[in-house]
Amino acid sequence: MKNAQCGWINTGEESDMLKPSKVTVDYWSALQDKKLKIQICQKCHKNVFYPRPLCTGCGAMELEYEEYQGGITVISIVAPESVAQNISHLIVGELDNGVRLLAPISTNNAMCLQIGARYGLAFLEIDGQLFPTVV
Amino acid sequence: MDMYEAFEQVDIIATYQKKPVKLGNYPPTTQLEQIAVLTNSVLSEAGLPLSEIDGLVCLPINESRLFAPSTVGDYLGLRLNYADLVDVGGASALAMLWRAYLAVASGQSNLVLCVIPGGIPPVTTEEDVNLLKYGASSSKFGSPQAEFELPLGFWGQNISYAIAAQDYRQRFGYDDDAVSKLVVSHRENAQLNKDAIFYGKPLTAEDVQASRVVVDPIRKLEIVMPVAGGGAFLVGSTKRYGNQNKRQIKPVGYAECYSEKSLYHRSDMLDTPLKYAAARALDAAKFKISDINAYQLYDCYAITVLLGLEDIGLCARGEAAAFILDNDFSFVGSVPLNTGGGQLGFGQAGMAGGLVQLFEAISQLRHELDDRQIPKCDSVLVTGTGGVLSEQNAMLLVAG
Repeated sequence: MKNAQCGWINTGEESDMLKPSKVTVDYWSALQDKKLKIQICQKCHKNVFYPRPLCTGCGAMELEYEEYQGGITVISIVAPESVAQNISHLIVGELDNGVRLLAPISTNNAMCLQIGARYGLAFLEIDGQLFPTVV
Repeated sequence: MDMYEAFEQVDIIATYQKKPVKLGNYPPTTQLEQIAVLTNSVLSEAGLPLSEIDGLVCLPINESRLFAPSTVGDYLGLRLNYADLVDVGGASALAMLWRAYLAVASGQSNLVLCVIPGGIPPVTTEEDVNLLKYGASSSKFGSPQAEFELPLGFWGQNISYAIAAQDYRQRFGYDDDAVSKLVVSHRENAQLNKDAIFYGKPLTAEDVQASRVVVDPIRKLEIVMPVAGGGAFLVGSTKRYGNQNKRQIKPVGYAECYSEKSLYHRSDMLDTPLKYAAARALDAAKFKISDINAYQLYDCYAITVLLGLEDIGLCARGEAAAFILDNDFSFVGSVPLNTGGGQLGFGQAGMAGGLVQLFEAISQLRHELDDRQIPKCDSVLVTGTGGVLSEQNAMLLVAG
């Protein structure tokens, strides 16, 4: 993945964006294998996203990444003022397990989406990094 | 001893709000320099010497990443018995007032300076640029926003408030007539406030509906205009400073609540912190919402007020549109709301925005306003909102 800079954001070469920590690195590397991995608490079974060392449900530290297999329901659709060239919109997507995340939508795909509808999980490359998206 | 009883010995000694100017008309000034000027102005209002200040509540400052209160204290030449830092954006005004009242009531301080610069400081480093560009979203390594949001172009207030508005629209409808009436009401109220940036510039519902959609469904005129300004207030001991022939201002109920910083993580995005804060504040005050004389609700966007009306219990969730269409929000109306024009009419001077609501409440309670004085105003509910509906507070103020 691209650590040092994000080509589509003009923040200089030393950008801290998209730079993974030791906890989040597994999330990003799994995406490169077209797998969306979400942390699940081994004590209370809560799905935790974004990745972190502590379960936000029960405070336990026993979080394990598990591959997510399911759909994404569109909660919101927004057009940011500044995005990558092949991206026209972002959605707030809800996974079947309740996790909510941002997902980039390619220029070709945006007009077909409907709020409240559930779509399949896919992956979209931006500047060498894969992100979850909908299809 | 009941905390609120201890506030019998505490009062607002003076307030000062800088008249807002357009950002382009304000030369970049360091925040320490802004704080110095604001301090001089509020002391002039109070008629007190600098040496009386022995307490300070401030926000983080650009010129010093750490140790802001002692840096400010040193810059002003103060020896402080009490210092505190609040960092809750638009909720800062109320959070400061609460901490200052506690400091005076508990004997830690005789006179607390609360100060919020609201002008743009010089931009000299990449960190300054990022702070201006990304606002509440940190671009530093390790920040969840830097890693999961900023690379996708997700930053700034507009997108997140639009997400809240979309959710509202999906569930209850986003009524153009109600939203534009709400905006126009603020602008009408601003016509009675000579300091407001939009004084002398009335607006129609058609203007609102014809303004550009910035992020669906939010239109340009539903968003506050950023201005340069700022303000300060002094909270002090009535034993030391008397009542200055003004009605005493007392908080009788206050609560704050913090929830997800990025609201899209919230399973119910409309489950706002203010709902909880307002309920606790009213419970502490033993007031019913309908017993209150006026409402000063934080208004960075029309959707914030719309949700706020529901959060404080003037109407149920989803019923704000009907409530707005049924009521008159002027100072003589059925529901006096943001009677000085709110920030939608006054302008938003960055972190100092919340002072608009607080100072209007104080002026109304002290019956100091000529053109827009609510005839009988003994209680005002004030709210604050920081970030994107992430840090919110509510305070019921009474005069007596």
